[in-house]
Amino acid sequence: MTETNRDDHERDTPMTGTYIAVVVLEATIIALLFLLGRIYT
Amino acid sequence: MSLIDWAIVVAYLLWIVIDGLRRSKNTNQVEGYFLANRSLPWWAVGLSVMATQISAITLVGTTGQAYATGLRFVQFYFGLPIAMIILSLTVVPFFTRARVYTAYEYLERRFDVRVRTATSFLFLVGRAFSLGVTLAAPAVVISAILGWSIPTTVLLLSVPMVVYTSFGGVQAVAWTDVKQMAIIVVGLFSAIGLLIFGITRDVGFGQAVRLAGATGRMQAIDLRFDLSQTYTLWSGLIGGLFLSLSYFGCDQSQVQRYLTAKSIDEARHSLLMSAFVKIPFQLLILSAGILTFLFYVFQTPPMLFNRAYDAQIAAGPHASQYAALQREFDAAVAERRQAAMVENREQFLATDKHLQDVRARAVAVVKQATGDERYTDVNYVFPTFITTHLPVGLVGLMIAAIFGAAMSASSGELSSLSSATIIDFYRRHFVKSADDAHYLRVSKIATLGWGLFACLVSIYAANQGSLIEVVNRYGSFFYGSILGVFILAILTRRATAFGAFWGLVAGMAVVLTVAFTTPIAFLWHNLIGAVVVVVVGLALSFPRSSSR
Repeated sequence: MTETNRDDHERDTPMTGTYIAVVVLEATIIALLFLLGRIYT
Repeated sequence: MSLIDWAIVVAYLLWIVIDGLRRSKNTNQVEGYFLANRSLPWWAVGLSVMATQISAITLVGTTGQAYATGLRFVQFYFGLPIAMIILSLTVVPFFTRARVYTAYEYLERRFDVRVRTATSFLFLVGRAFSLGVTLAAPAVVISAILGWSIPTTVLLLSVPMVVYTSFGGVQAVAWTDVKQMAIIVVGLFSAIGLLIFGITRDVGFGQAVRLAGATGRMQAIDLRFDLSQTYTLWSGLIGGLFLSLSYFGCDQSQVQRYLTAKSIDEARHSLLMSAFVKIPFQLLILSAGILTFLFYVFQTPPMLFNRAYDAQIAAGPHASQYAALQREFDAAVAERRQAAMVENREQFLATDKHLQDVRARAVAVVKQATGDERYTDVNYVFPTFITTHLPVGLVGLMIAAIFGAAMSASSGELSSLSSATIIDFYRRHFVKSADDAHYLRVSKIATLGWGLFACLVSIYAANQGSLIEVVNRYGSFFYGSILGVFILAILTRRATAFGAFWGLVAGMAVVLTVAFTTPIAFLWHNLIGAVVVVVVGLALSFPRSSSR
């Protein structure tokens, strides 16, 4: 493996925004499912 | 099935095998064979990760579960997105920088060869039997629905998969997974579209959802903190988190997937794809099950979806009893349909309960008449809908999707078994300094060997329902404990090889005791195993690390 390939392979950029988006999406899904259950009981 | 449907299934199987073999051109080295030269894009790895988790039994079993109980099962996946974030921050950069072939290889660098060999051995034993079950479970359903023998069905499922995995390596696995995911998604959306079309011929969609809600099927969230309940918000968030951490972080069948990615960033993206998509996708599959329930409110369903013993009962001493139940069932179906049409909630619920009661009595008759105490109905609901209500062409596509799900789930497992065997045992303990061509050759032989073993296990397991349960429970015996070893390895400096090894033994012993002597649901076993390994491992490490 060349030095450039190794650098490419170890490319490691912060993804804090993506992690927050995952948590927000999951919280939204759980809240919506909870509401759905309450509405359609 | 019509000739066109058969042609679609055969063409699909041929396409998968030929394309898989075409990929073998790029696998002339061990790194290419097991890790695709660490060159795959994130979306292909991400789809492969998802495909490996979606077995055929997920497709038919989850829909059947939703038909019977609704959306509750989705809670099982609530820990997964959080686990993906934790893994993206910890093991993904760790394994990628370490340039390992297997997750267990790292444990020798951190501890010693004994810890590596023990964890890899546990993985091999668990995964080898689980691979047999991954093939056996759908084979039982497909053979009953299509009238094939179980050995024929197992061979049709496994031979194409073993061929493309053995010759094409992980590249063939990943790229066929991508195609299989596409077929699964197209098939699922088509079936859902037709279900909605079928339901809305009789009532509005809103009314249909209210009917499902009246039966409790729209209740997804269970807030009770009850350790004996398998699916609650808390068991999903906490137990599911530890299960996902263990499965995606320490199980070679998953770790190998993201080790094929081009870079740390691409590996992270591949896991985060599941974090975004997994829960919505499972909701889609569960929705198909609820829609199938609603569809059969307005179309007459069979009294029992698993018709394996119909002929035997019709010709036996229980025939008149069974026929009387059928008449009672038909009358109740008509009453329920009428109540649903006018949205008479009380009458609808009363007739639905009556139908469930008739079904339960019919199941009891089948068990009594055949002596088959393991007889179940739930996995046959969606395949029955497919083969009896979908148009020509779409039946073939859906059967191909079920085949695809079975193959994509098992090919990744097969490739990981081969990589752990060669890297952690053959190259580490037996032949330490052969050339790459030799290791590549034995890797292919190992893949074929494990494929043959899986076929034999699946043919045997298909006739042993209790064995399937045992193997499924076995996974949760060691998942949490292996996770504990990786937590000791990655997150602590103090842990020693001695502590990690005996912590692993203690973790498994405690989980086995809990599993067989308490009613605690299996998702919690992962948390218990991990905690025991970390506590015992650190306690046993303390005297040695402090004396150094």
